[in-house]
Amino acid sequence: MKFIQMLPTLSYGDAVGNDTIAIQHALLDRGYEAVIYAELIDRRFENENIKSIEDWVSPKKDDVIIYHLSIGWKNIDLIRKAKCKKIAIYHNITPTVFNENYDVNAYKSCKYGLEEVKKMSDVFDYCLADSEFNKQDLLSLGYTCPIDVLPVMVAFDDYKKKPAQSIIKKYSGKSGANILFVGRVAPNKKHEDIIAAFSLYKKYYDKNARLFLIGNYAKRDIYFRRLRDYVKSLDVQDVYFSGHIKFHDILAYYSIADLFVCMSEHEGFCVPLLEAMYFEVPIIAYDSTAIPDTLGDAGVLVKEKNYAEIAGLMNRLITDQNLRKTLIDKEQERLKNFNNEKIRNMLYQYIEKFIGK
Amino acid sequence: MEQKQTSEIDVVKIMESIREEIKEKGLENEVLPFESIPLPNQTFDIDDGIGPFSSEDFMDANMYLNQFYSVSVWHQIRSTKPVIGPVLTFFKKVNRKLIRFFIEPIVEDQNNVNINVTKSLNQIRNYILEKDNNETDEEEQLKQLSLKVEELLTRVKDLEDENNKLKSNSSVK
Repeated sequence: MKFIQMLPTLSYGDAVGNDTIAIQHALLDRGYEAVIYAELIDRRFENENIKSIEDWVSPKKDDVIIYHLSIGWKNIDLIRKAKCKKIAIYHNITPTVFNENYDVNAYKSCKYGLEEVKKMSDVFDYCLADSEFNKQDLLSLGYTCPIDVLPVMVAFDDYKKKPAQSIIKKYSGKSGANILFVGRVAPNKKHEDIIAAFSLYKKYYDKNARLFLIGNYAKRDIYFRRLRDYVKSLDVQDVYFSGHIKFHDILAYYSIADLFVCMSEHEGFCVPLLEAMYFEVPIIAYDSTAIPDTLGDAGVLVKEKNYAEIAGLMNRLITDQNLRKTLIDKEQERLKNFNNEKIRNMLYQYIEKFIGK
Repeated sequence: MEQKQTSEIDVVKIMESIREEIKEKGLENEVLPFESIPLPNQTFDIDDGIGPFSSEDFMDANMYLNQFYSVSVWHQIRSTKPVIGPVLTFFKKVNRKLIRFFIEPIVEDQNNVNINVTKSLNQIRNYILEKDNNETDEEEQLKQLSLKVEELLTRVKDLEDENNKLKSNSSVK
């Protein structure tokens, strides 16, 4: 018997790619045979057993396909036709409404993906969802197979690496708070709401504050350019878009951050929340989709986007040391739920029950 | 999921006190709406891809290349049209078979070019990263050396002062 993980794109450093590799290692460590098939494979995955979909070999009857559902894929029929057992890991698909005005390709891909998820509801024998939100999403899409929640496996050991000293020297210990958000510049992440709240925070509470928006973007991306125009129109200083940066730079930004602010309106899990917890950065997040599932009580959830109130809350979380300590304690407690060993054991328990071992 | 009890945070109370504070200080909630910013047009920025070297742009383009260097000649042919769909799919598949001898070598050649371009650019990327790291190390070394030189200069000055003092003492005697 062999586990065959399948996904359209295996990207280096993104949540789905990391999760796929973590599951591969977990399966191999347990003594299972495991392989990954993808159409687009980042070349940095040199030492893994990853094959191109062009080399696809139909699975044997006792094999198990694990398909990572996160975007549309034209090769989905391969899964439908396979005669083996099938598991879907649902990472969620961004609703099309967010990309309507910005990115035609992302819009089409999400539209196609959502249609595909609906059509595939009778294909899988079992589903794993990153969060309770994702599980409910599958149920609402007509999935009737058993569904369990398995959080994303985060490689916390990587965060022990040395952060970039140049960034730490440049920004730590200086007057003014460092406010952080980490996430690809995409319309569902609602960077504009962070910028709006930050502009009031800077105006009313801390004129030297800095906002670091860490995440990849393409310069020609319409949403990014609109955000850049927004910053100019608000005439707010010290807003930094990092673009693609090295891993040790990301670690440095977490190290210097006084506060993590997330206004995203669509997340299937939201790994950066766990990263902020790991680096003991208090969190303010907007109450949407999977965010409450991941955050638990380890941060402050805001129910509405009142920028003045969020700015006040930012000030409170930065200046009230008792509140900060309580939140950081809660973060450390919350992180225990996402411990790698714990998630691995959950994975073993779920898949071994499924294969009847 | 297990959850150990830690001291509770009363978010409602915190928000109420913030609202009171906003009211007392007369802080306004007015921010220019994002929707008022016109959508930029779909064209490239005038400086996109040209102008001075940008490590950020280079890394973006390099990441894209690493993900998409391999062009696939094979892809699933299907049609969602009812009734006629299977017929269309059949003819498309036949067409694919007929032109395979012509298309495949072109795609293979293109992939070989892509692989080599990607490899070359990866080498340049590694060179830039190494250079960045070396520069950071060298900057650190330079800083340490500057500190040592400063220390030594201070020490030399102290010794000179001491020496002058001793000389003047001995000349007095």
